[in-house]
Amino acid sequence: MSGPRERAARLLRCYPRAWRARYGEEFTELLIADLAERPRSPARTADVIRGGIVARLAEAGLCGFAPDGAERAGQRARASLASLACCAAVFLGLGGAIWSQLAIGWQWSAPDATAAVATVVMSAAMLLLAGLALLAGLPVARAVAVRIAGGGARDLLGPSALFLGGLVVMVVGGRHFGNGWPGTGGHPWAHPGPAATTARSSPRRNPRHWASWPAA
Amino acid sequence: MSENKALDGFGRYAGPATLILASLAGGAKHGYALTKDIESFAGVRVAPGTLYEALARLHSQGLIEPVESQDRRRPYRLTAAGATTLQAQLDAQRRVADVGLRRLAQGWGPA
Repeated sequence: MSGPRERAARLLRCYPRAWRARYGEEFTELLIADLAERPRSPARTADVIRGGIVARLAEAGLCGFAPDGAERAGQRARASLASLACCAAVFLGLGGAIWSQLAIGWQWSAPDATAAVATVVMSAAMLLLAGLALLAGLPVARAVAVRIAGGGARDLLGPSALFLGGLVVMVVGGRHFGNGWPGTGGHPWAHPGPAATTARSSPRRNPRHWASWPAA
Repeated sequence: MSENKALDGFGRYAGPATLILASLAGGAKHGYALTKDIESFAGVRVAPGTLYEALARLHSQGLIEPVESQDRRRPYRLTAAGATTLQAQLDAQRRVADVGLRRLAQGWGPA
């Protein structure tokens, strides 16, 4: 079993960096004293983990309490907006996936009037939201690019790379899904990329290939 | 004394906050000393995470303040606002205790 100081240091990592900078030293001393008195306490471990989660949620603006008071109130508000934007993006991403399922279904059978109207309305809403998102995102992207180019925003490199990587995955993944649908050759609006074309030409994707397999 | 609402926003930390303020009323203490003192007079062991969450809230409200010390275990002390809040909080709890005990005595026999 590792020493109390090592165990206290591990528990302390449950808390965000800013919290550790403010309270880390004294909290570590408390944990060391508590560990010396009660070497094994699942309740203590659970309490520290819970406290760390609450502190991280507060750091992300997802809790109402701001331990540092008015000093960081503005920062917490911005964090809240950013978290709200992320949740909205995930929600819209799921909505987009549902919309794409409806749209792809048009390949096989013409929908009834109600479904057709619903899909057209959803498509118009998706286009409008995409346009608004582009208008809202362009100034942010420009500000981020300027700051990174200026060399004063190294902390933005990681999130920017993550965003661009996610965008690439979304585009490539969407096209792959459209072109990889078994037996259809893909959505007529989707232009098959070279990887998808190669995969489609593979005998394993040919229905006749599967038909030649012996019955189980 | 008018009722002080300072601990109303503490939610689930109002209990630990009251215990911490009561402990600090007897003098400045660091985290572990607070834990042991609270355990001795209240019979409650306040876990480290809960303790520091309450300490952070009390500090942000100006009810306690850290004491400059060379010790890595930073002690805290009660402020004037903290003393006022503690007085109001305990007065409110005493009223509840008095009512409860009186009604028990009237309806259920001697307290």
